[in-house]
Amino acid sequence: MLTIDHLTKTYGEKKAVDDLSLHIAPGEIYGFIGHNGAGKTTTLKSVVGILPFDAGTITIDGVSLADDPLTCKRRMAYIPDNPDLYEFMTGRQYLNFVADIFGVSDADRRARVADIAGTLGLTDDLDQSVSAYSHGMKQKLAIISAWLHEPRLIIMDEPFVGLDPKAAHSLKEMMRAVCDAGGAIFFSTHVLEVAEKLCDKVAIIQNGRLIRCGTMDEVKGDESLESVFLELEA
Amino acid sequence: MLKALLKKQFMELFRGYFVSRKNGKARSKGQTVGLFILFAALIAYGGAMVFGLAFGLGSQLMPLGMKWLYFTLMGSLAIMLGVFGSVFNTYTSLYRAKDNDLLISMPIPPSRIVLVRLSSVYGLGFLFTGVIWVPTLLYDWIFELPGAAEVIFGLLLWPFIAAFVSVLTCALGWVVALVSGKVSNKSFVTVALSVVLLGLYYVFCFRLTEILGALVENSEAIGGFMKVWFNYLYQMGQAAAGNGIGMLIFAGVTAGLSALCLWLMARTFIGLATRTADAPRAAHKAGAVKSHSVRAALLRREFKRFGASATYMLNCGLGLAFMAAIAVLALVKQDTLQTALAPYEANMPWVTAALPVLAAAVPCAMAALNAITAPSVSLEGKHIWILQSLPVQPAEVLNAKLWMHVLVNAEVTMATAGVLCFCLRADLLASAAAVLYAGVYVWLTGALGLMIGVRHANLQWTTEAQPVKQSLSAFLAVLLGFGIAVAAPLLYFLLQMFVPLNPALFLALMAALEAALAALTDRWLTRTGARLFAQL
Repeated sequence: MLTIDHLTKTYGEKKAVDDLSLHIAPGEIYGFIGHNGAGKTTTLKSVVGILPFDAGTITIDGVSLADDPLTCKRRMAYIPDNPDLYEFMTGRQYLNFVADIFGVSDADRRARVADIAGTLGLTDDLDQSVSAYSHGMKQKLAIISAWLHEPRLIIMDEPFVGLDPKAAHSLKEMMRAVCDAGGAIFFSTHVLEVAEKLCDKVAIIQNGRLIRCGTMDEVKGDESLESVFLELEA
Repeated sequence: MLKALLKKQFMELFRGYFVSRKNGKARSKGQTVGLFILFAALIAYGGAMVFGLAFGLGSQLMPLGMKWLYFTLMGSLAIMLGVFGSVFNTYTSLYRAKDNDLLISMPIPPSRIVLVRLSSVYGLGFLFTGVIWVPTLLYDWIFELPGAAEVIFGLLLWPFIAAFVSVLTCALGWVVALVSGKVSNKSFVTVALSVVLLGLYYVFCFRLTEILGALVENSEAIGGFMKVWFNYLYQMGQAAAGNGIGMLIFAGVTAGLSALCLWLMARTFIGLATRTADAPRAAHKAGAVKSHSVRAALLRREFKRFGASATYMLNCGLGLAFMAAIAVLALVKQDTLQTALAPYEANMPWVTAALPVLAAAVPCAMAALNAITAPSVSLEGKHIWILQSLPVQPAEVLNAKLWMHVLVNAEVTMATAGVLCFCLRADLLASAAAVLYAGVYVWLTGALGLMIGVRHANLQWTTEAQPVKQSLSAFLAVLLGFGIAVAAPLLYFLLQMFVPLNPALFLALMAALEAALAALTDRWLTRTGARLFAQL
């Protein structure tokens, strides 16, 4: 579904991502872990077309992001690490804006908003201004907007930050449901326990380079993911 | 602590002079000096205009022995300008600064935060009052040869007048903060109040000569009135005229008011700065859904953005109020206008021939103030990721920005041009050409403003006032728009010196030329502009 091939991105002299290659297949929840500044966000932003990259290719279902970014963007959704949403809109207006862009029908958006907002416990706040939302509420709104057009691929940067335990649990179930339906999830996290329990595959990045990737068993063997990660970081 | 806070505040205030807001790189010394010179030139220009006013008033009042009244009146004007210039900024910089939460979370007494915030309010007030007060003093020094006490007190009064301005603007800012917490459509309420305030200000400016004449004629009575009812301002005039007791009273009262203001604001600051809204919670409305096309969704987003910000609406929509006012005024004063123009028809027919061109140019010059597109890219700020990650072409986003500018401005500008043509008895063809020209002008200036906005985009700002009011894009867009608006009548008059020119034909040709330029700019926006936007 998502193929990253020899991706390189530099900021001035610094290589933020260095020759990184990954393949994420349909049905997979793929975790992306690494220390702060390792290159996770840069990689994710490159995948969703926010950051232009210097070398390599990114394809989604065989479509090159560089050649046809709009087709790729229609197939995926992105939730950033800090959900800065339009504070001049209400939650519902924001969702309608996103739904309009993706061409989601009235009936579908009504049903999906009711369903996901209900699951995440945001229904009663949808008509409030986003400026009055807490970080967690913004995160929930970003999640609803990402799920609204039923994307095949969802890219998330630290999606559990700010969520209450119930919403975090719901999100994990929603992620699994996407993959069970043939979609894929690629997300970064610092919470290794979550990655260990939730992910089918995991990739570890260090100083912009991919140092290990594969199924959870291939990466950690008999050890915990945390001990493997700390070992690699040492 | 205070030093560090002040340093932060002034770094933020003057950063634009030393560091490019666009790329975060340090400016060269030449650029910094150039920016300071430009700023000083603008201040000097304002000061030169005020000097003329000081001369007019001073030369009438001084021979009557009413020096103190001269200073009282000019000082009052300085206070008015100071309050007018700073009040819009005060509420935002005091209560809506983005780093309020950060500072409040730190172990900093609220009084220090208020003091630091007030320092920039005070600085702005000092600058605005200086535009009036310095020429006031200069007139006195040049033509009246004052004594040492007058010179010293005159200079000493400046910071005190600025302090009084700060007290007044803080009081107004406090009221705005209090009111804005209670209302839901605060942007529109703020804009409505501001427009009323502006209207009063312009009525005052419009009738300034008349008011000054009345002042001079009734100087004795006004002096007595000021002494009794506005003793504080009377003491200011006395102080400027060299009276030590007046100086002591004015300085003492101002210091007391400033201390009281600081104390009150420190007590209420946290409550007001952290208040989100006391307005009733919006009721949940299930099923309120209506889908739109991508183009309509982007356009609606632009309108929501515009309508949600009082700063944006006020600074980039003020020309609409001016146009409406001038159209109404022209309709009401039609006969006066005709009477005033009658002598020109016989003696200077080339002036009356140019009326349709002027009728088109006047609303265009006012529309130049509505540079909506120029800051619109920068205003995306930290939200830029949304548009960049959604499946929309950057060109579509830019197009929506341009359309909003056109939809907001075109009708009013065209209607005003039509009304002016009607009031000036222009023929139908010339009126149609003027209306057409006004519409094309709006398209061109919107496109040019957007081009400037994309090229000089700055997504890193602390308050909206930075991209909307203090950015190079906004300044250049207004300047360019004004230049184009003025260029048409100038060109017409110039050409008429050589060949008699039909105004309808001239306006049609100008409209065609501007349409071609607008189309070229549009093309640039679709290609290069869209690429630059995608790379932000």
